[in-house]
Amino acid sequence: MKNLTLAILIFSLLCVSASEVEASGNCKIEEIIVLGLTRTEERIVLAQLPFSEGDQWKEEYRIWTLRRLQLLDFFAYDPLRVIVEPLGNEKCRIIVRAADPAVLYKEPMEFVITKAVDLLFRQFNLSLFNPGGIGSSLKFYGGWGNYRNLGMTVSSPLGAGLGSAGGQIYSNSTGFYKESGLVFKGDYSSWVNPSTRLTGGIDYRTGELNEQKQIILLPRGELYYNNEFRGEIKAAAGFSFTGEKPFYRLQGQALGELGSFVGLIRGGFMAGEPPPLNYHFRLGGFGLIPLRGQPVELAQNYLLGTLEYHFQTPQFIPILFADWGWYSPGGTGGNINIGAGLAMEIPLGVIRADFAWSPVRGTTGFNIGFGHSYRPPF
Amino acid sequence: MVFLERKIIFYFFLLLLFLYCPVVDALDIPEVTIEDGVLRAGSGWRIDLEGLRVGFLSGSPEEIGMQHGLLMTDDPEELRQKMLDKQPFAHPETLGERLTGFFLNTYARFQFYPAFLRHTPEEYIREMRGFVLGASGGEEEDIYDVMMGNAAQDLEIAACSAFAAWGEATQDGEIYVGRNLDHGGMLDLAGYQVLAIYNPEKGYRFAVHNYPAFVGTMSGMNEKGLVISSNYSMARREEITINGLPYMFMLRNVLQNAATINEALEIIKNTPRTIGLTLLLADGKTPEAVVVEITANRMQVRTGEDYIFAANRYLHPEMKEFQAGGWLASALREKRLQELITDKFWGEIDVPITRDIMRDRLPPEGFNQENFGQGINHEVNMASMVMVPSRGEFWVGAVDDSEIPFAADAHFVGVDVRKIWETGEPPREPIGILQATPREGYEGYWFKAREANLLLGQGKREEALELLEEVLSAYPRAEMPLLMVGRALIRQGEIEKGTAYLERFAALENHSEPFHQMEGYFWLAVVYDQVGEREKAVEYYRRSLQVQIEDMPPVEGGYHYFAEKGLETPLKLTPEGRVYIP
Repeated sequence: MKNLTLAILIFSLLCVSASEVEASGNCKIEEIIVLGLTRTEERIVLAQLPFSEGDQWKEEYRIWTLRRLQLLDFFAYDPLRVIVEPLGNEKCRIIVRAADPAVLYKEPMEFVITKAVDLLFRQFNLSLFNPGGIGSSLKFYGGWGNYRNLGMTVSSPLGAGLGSAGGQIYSNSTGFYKESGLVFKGDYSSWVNPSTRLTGGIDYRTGELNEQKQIILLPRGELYYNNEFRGEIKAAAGFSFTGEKPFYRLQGQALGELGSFVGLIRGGFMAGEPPPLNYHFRLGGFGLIPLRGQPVELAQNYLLGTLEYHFQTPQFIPILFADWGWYSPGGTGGNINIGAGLAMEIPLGVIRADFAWSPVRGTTGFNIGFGHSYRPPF
Repeated sequence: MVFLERKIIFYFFLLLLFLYCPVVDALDIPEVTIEDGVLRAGSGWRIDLEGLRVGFLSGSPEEIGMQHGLLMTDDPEELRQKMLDKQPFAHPETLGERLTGFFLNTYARFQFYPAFLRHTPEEYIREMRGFVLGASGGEEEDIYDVMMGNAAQDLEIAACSAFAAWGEATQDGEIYVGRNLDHGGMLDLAGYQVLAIYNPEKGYRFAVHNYPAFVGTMSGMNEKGLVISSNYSMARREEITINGLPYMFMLRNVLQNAATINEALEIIKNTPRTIGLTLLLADGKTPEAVVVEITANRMQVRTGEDYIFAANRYLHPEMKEFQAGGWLASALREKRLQELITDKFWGEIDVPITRDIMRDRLPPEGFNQENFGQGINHEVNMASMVMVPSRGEFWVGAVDDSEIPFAADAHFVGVDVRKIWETGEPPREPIGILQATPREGYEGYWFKAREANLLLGQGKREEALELLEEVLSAYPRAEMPLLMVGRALIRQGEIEKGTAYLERFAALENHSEPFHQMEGYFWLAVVYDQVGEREKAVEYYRRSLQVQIEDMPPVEGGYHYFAEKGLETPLKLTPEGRVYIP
C-alpha cells in the first residue's frame, strides 16, 4: 500500500496524547503490566513506579508515574498512559502503556523540523535515545554562532530518577565579556511526589574570562513544582579556585493561569561578593529572563512581572502582554514593556511571533520561535 | 602489519558471508507445479474445493511465506493493484493531491511503518519477506506494502458479528461458532478469500479464513480446538494508538500459541494493542466461549451460559464508557442473535442452523412490514463461516465476484481441517455442502434491494432505482427500499417525488431499525426546509430527535447534531443533495 491514505491521517489525528480522565476508586494492586516496550528493559519502567503489587492504588500515582517516565525523555508522546483496570473484589490491575521509538528520533516530522530550525540558529543537537535498552541516552550538541560550543551528555535512570553527566568546550563573546574553556556537569533529578521534582547538580568550569584564568565549582539545587501553579526555585553557590570570594545565587519564578490571563512573577538575588560577569543574571530581550521590549543587560538582583491576555480563538491566538521589571544595578525605574503577539498551536507545540516596545526607553524587540516568549517555568 | 590487517579484514568478510549463507539457502524459491488440480510449491498446496480456495502452508516462516505468495493468488500483481487503487490519492489529479499523498506516504513510511515493525514478532516479518519473494518471483524483498496491508485493518472501521453456542443450546452439546465478516472497505477482495491451513515450524497448527498477503488473521481455529474472531468496536480516541502490534498479528499469535481460553487471554492481555475490538474466543474442548472487549489499553472479559455473541460495541459495564460515537447497527444484530439463539433455535443449533443465523435478514414475521434491510446479515457482508472446533470442521460461504456481498447466502463448503493437519494432504471432497439461498420469492426481492443498496453506494442511481421499484411494486410497504428511493430521488433533485416516498416510509407503523427511522424523519425535515415549509420541517426535526437509538453514542456532525441545528435555523441542500447549515 504505497499510498497510505487519508484513513491513516485521520487515525493519526485521532491518536492524541490524551490525559487520563477516568476516576478510579481505591483498590488493591493485584498485578502490574508494562505494555508496549520493544527494546527497553521492563525493569527500567518498573523502577519509576511509585507503587508496587500489593499496594493500595491512589489516584495521585498516575500523574506521578507519568512525570517520572517523561523525565527519562525517551518514550514517545503517544501512548504514555497509566490505566487502572478493575478486577472485582476491590482489586485492580495497573497497566503502564509506553512506546519506545527509534534510537534517533521520537517522531519524524519533529526530527526534520527541529533539526532544520537548529541549523537556522547555527546550532545542532543529536540524541541517541536509549540505544542499549537500559534507559541511557546520549546527546551530542554544538553551536557556531556567538556562543561556540561542542558537548556531549549521557543520561541514565538511577533509581526512581534520572542522572546525567556531560561536558562541553565553549567560547563565548558577548557585549559584556569574553569567555572560553571547558565545563563538566553532573545532575540527578527525580519527582519526589506527584507535584515536586528535586534536582541536585554540580558544575566544574575551567577556562578564561576576559583573558583571566577562571576555575569555579558550582554546586546547585533546584526545586520544581507543578500543581495548582507552576514554579521553580534554583539555588547555587560558586567557589573559585583562582582567588575570588564565594558567591551565592537564588532564583525563582511562578506561573499562574486564570481564564485567558497568564501571570508570571520571577526574581533573582545574589549574596556574598559580586560574582564574575559570566555568572550575573542576563535579562532583557526575548532571552531566558525576558523584558521583551528592551535590550539585554547584566544584573545581580531582579524582580520581574509579566501579564498576558490570550484571546480565545480557534486557530491563531492573538496575545497582548506587558512586562515590568526592577533590577540592579541600573534598572530601578521605567522598565515597563508592552507588546502584542500571535501564536498558533501545532502538534509540536506553539509557534509564536511577538513585537514588544519599551515606551520609556523607546526600544523595541521582535521574535519568532517555538514556545511562548514569556519563558514559562520548566 | 599491513598483512595482518588484511588478514583480519578477510576473515571478517568471510565470517559475514558465513552468517549470510544460511539465509540465502532458506530463501530458495520453490517451483510451482500442478497435478490433478492441485497446485503445489514446496510442501504447500492449494486446491479449489467446490468454489472455495483451500491452501496448506507448512514449514519455516520463510517457506510458509513463499508458499503463500506462490499459491494463494493467481495474479499477485492484480491483487496488489486492487489494494493500491483503494487508497485515496492513488491517482492524484491535482498538485494538492500529489503533495497530500506525498506527505501521507512519508508519514506512513517513517512513522507508522517503524512503529508496526518494532512490535511485530520476527517470525511474521520473516514470513512477510517470504511472501514478497514468492509473490514477486524473487524480484522484490521489501515488506513495506505487505506490512501496511496487514496493519491497514487497524486504520479502518468495519462491522462483523459472531456468536458461539454450546451445551443446552446446541443439538449435541458441542460448541458451534458462527461468524460474519462485514467490511465495506474490503468488498473488492471478497472473491480472493482462502481457507488457509497452517503447519508452522513452531506453535500449534491452525486454520484461518483469510485473504492473500494477510499474515495476520481476523478469524481462525487451531488444533487445540481454540477459535478466535474479531469484531470492530469504536473506542475513544485516547484508547487507540498506532504504537502497537497490528491486531491481525495478535489473533494469529493466539491461534499459534494458545491452547485454552486462559492462555489466549494472557496473550491478549500482554499484547501492546492498537484499537477497539470485541473478540470471540471459543474452546471446543471444554466447551465454552467468552467475548474479550478491548481497547489499546483496556481489556474486560464477558462470559455467557451456553451462548454468547458479539457485534460492534462494548457490552461489559466497565467498557461502555470507552465507546466512541458512531453507529454500526450493533443493537439490532444483538437483538436478533438473542432472539434466534434463545427463542427460535434453542437446543437445535448445528451447522446448518448456525449458518441460517448468520444469514438472518429480518424475515417478514414479527414486523408490520417487510424490512429488506439487514438483520445479522449485514449489507457489507463479505465472508461468512461456521466453525466446529471439537471436530475440526471449518465451513465457509464460497463467494465469488458475482455473489458479493452475499457471502452468508452463498453455498457453504465444509472442510475437515483436522484431517489436513494430520495428513498434510488436500481433501478429495468437502465434508458437506450447504446450499446457497435461492433467489426467488421474498429472498429474491431481498437480493434486489441489497444489490440496489450497493449500486447506490457506487453512484449508479438509475440502476438502483429500477431494482427498488421492482421491490416496491411487490412489497409497497418495504421499509428500507422506501427510504433508499426517497433519499436517492432527493439527491438527484426530485424533491417532490422523493418526499412522497419518505412520507410513505414515515407513515409505517413500526420501524425495525431506529437509526433509519431517525434518518427518514431527518431527511423529510430537510426537504420541507428546502421547499420552505418550516412548520413541517420543525415537526420532523423534533421527531428525529425523539427516536431513541441505544447503540449510537453522540457524535459530532451526526444526524442528531444537524437535527438540533435544524430546529434553530432552516437547513438547506446543495445541488448534490448534501445538507448544510446556511
